[in-house]
Amino acid sequence: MRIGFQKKQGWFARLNPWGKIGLVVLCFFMAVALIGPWLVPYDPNSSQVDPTGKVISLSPPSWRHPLGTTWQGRDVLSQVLCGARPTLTVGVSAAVILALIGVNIGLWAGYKGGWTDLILMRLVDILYGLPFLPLMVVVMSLLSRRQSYIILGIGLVAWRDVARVVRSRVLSMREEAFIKSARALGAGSLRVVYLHILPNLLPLAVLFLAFGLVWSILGHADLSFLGFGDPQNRTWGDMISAAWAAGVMSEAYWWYLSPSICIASVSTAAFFVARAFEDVSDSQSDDQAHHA
Amino acid sequence: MRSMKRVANLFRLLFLLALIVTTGAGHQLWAANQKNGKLVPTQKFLTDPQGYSAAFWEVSQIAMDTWNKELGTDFKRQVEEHDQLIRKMFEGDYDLGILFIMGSPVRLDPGFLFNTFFYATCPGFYNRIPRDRCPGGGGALNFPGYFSPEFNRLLKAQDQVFDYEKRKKMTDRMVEMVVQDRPVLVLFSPYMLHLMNTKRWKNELGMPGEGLGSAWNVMGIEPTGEDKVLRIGSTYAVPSINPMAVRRTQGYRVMDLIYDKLFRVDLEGKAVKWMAKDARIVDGINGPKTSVKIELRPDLKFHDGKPVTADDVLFTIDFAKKFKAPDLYNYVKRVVKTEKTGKYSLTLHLDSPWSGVFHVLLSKMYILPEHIWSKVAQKEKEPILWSNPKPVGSGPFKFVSWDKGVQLVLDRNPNYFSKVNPNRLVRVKYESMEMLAAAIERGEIDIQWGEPMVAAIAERVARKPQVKAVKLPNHGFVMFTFRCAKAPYNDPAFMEALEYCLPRDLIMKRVYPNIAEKAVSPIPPGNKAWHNPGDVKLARPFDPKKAREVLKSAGYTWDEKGRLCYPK
Amino acid sequence: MSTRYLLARTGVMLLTLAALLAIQFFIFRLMPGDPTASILAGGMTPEIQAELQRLWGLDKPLANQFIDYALNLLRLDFGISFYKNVPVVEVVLPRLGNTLVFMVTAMIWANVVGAFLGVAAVALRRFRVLEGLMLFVGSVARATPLFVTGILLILIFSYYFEWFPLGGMHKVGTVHYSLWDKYMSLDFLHHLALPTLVAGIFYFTTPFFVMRASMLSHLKDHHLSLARAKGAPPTWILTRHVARNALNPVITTTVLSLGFAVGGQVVVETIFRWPGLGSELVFSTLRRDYPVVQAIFFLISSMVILMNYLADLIYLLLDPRVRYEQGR
Repeated sequence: MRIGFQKKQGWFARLNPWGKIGLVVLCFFMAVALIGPWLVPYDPNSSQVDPTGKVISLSPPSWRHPLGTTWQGRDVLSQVLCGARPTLTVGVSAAVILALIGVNIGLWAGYKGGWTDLILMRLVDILYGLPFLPLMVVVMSLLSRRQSYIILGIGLVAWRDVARVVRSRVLSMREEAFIKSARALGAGSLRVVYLHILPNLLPLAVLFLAFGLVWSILGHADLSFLGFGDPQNRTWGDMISAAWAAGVMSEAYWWYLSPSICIASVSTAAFFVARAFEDVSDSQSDDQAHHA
Repeated sequence: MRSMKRVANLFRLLFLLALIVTTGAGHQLWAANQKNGKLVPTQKFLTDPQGYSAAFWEVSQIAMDTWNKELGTDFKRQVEEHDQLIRKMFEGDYDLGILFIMGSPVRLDPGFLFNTFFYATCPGFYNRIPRDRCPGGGGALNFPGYFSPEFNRLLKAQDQVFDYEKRKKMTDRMVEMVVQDRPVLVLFSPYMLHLMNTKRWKNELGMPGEGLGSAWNVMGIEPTGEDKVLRIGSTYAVPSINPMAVRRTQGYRVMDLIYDKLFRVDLEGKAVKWMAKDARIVDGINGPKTSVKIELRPDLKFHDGKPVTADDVLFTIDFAKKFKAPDLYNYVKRVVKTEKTGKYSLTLHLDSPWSGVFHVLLSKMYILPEHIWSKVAQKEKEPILWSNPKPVGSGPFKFVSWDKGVQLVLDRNPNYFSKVNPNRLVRVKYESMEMLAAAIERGEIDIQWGEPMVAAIAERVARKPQVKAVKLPNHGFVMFTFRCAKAPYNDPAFMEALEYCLPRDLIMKRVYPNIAEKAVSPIPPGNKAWHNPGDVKLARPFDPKKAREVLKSAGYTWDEKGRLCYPK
Repeated sequence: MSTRYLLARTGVMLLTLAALLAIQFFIFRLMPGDPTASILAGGMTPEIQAELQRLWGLDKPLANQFIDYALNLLRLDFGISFYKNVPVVEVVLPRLGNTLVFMVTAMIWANVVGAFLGVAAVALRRFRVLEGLMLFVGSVARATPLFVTGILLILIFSYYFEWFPLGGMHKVGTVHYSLWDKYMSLDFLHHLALPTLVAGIFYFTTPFFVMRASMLSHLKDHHLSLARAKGAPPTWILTRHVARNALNPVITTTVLSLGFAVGGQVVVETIFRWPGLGSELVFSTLRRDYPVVQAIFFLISSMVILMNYLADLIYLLLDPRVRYEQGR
């Protein structure tokens, strides 16, 4: 059994081909999120007018506007490029928060057992009983519609699955020889949990980061579509919501299609990555089982 | 080992970052306070969600963007669901907001309009102000909290003038005052653009301000064939079916069908006798022209068969006074004494001459069945809150069922004294304009009520063979309302600058192309009888340079970031 | 599985429900905004507003309100809707029915199809391309937001082809007089088709992936080598032995997902104007109609907790080790 975490070298190679593609796509969208707003051909919020001064409303894709324009003559391509940043900001931040919380709670519930385990798992049960979207609607009504609240809302609620799985893993690892020997050598709980157990859970943690990204993006998109997004940080979901509200879906398919494809691509890519890490983590636990 | 060092480094990095951020923020704050006055803080612009009205979202967006760009202000959008938005306005808990004042027939009367929207008896008025802070009260929908004693004086005076020319001079002056004081900024009157499907119904009767939503249309529209069910669609919900608690125009439309009134406002905008066979203003106990003699039609019956008599009318007036029915109270309290003079005749004695008594009071007051509501008055502590689950009135339609927020069904009243064409009415609420338009296109819905249809959708759908877009003038209007007791809206210079910087023409062209008429005052051109054509001269054209000059001469400055600061 | 364990588990479940009830109650009452706003008109006096609050029990301190609420709940009295002024059960029950009909239909076919495809994916894993395609489609279906799929299908099948209606549960103006009328009509099925398809596309993916993973892990089981040695054909092994054992986790996930299904359909219900529980929840929240919101929230939470509980029990029942133990 290894002490310490796996060497980083080779983890990329061990992912299945879908996972590799997914990772590349994710990196591409992260790049778009970072530099997209500087590459926009037009201001995403201002209406474009033609030489006669008339607003170029609802124009299909053309050379001037490769992805068409909206009802108010705003360039769809520029909006799409700018929409990556809030989507990924919320996605990654919420994923990090929920992974952090979930992994920690799972670790301690599994390791300590007893009352800690009981209370923490009841907390998980209670969270399961709060349906996500209605709860987010309540939260956004309670506080104003700001991006930070969306991130917190998702992060503080969606960690329930993470905790459960991490806990069951820790339960099986608790009886491993290397853990027992570390404790026999006088290592305190903190040391054992964070220096010995956690490193072996790293693929699992990354796995949940990726799943967390999927959940956050989907949850955020649903919220934005229903009209609860942050009006200062418009994402792809907000674009689709605007198209729906303007009531021109059947006419201007381009306004709806490009942001939809973007959302679907990013979350599918994250899903591929997640499943690839799931395979890695499963094979690792198989290894562990055999070595025991 | 290695991992512990990494963790420690991470913490060091985070601490460094935090240090940088806080010192940076501190410097900003310090720098801003040095040479200019205080920064004009972020202003929250109250709007409905985009799904409620995509058009108003855009209107407010264009205004905010223009103001922020040209004047260095910081207007930010605050989204609230509609009922909560209205509540915030009633409580005076807002900076500014956008509202659509719908053109209901009673709002054609300038006395009613000014009383409702601009009357207050104390500064800092808001609708829910506690009684002891403002015992005189104010208008039911005075959102800005506009208070002007001169205005109030004119309001009282014009009410008592029966001569049209004389009265118009006074209302013209009142329009001028509102345009110059700027408690609100009126932008335009959208035409009432309503869609209809002509497969089953034809010869619609359009009403100014109501579009296809008037009772005249519902009663008088003609069927093309055997199917006599009229299907109505709207994006607005019916708020209540208690005639004494009715709020918002959508509620009135339905009440107009179930209940009946002594007068009705006709398609030309004039109050005509309806339930009253005869009504005349006579000299009375309080002076010349202070009494109204009314003679009811003898053939009126409630939906449960009982006849309508003078007792019902008198009871309704007493009820409205006693329980302070919200929309009626300010008007019905002017009836100081009532007198029954026969089974179907009565006399009302007013406190002073009232030129608008037919148009405002008698066209608005729904006649309640005394045999039902007297019991309600005894049992309920606040009968206004009674849900009225099975309304019984004397109107052209009888109540059948109501799934609130979804669908309302009414059947024709077979005993009605005037002709009613449809046998059944079904009113369905839709969540979006697109769905409603598609339903009309497919023939699932016959006529549209409520907010005017979005231009882009109307254009597309009206091309289909059986769909018709009915475009009618409107005396309703879209306006920005400001909390005029709050800074900076209490500064006339700031308000003038805002108006100089408001691109009315651009907004109309972008959001309501060809389907709106420019308006600068609460009595827009759509109200032909009372419009003051001189109001345009007093409004400010779009001139951002002039706006900045006005601010500069009032002492406003801009900091190095271009943000607006108060005078020192 | 002893009765003691069963009792303990049930007790924990009830405690969790009670905690949830309290949490939900306080979250909603803490929301800013005034439920009387949707009833009060402009000219209404503060006295009327106070009376309304008294009628609705909003003037008492929060703790008292909670106690009243909890006691009423025990008598199954969910109160009166602020907005619609009718008992909450009248509002919620039809909505629950609409959502259940829609979701149960969707879940049944999604789970059946999903599990079946999961078996197929394993059986056909020799054809790498086909397997790859199935995995790709499954992933995309799982990761695409429901409203994206929904709008796409509405645009194609309702607007463009006009094969299906644009939403709603029945044609406009239909008045139905019985439950049978309401749910057993061609018109209803016509309206049910698209929403079910959209939900199904999303929900078939989990049973698909779980079934496949479960089967793949069971393929290595030792007890199969005997069957193989006897010369049994591979498909026979697959279906009779592997699939049956692999079904275990699929059943538990199905039961769990049923719990989420009831409350989670806000988006589909919004797009298709389906008068269900999810959309009613969102609208009532916006209107601050506390009694309805609390009732629906509680209903959904109870379903989820109940399904969790059932899933645990079923898992224990079906676990072959437990069965074997009990057999002795």
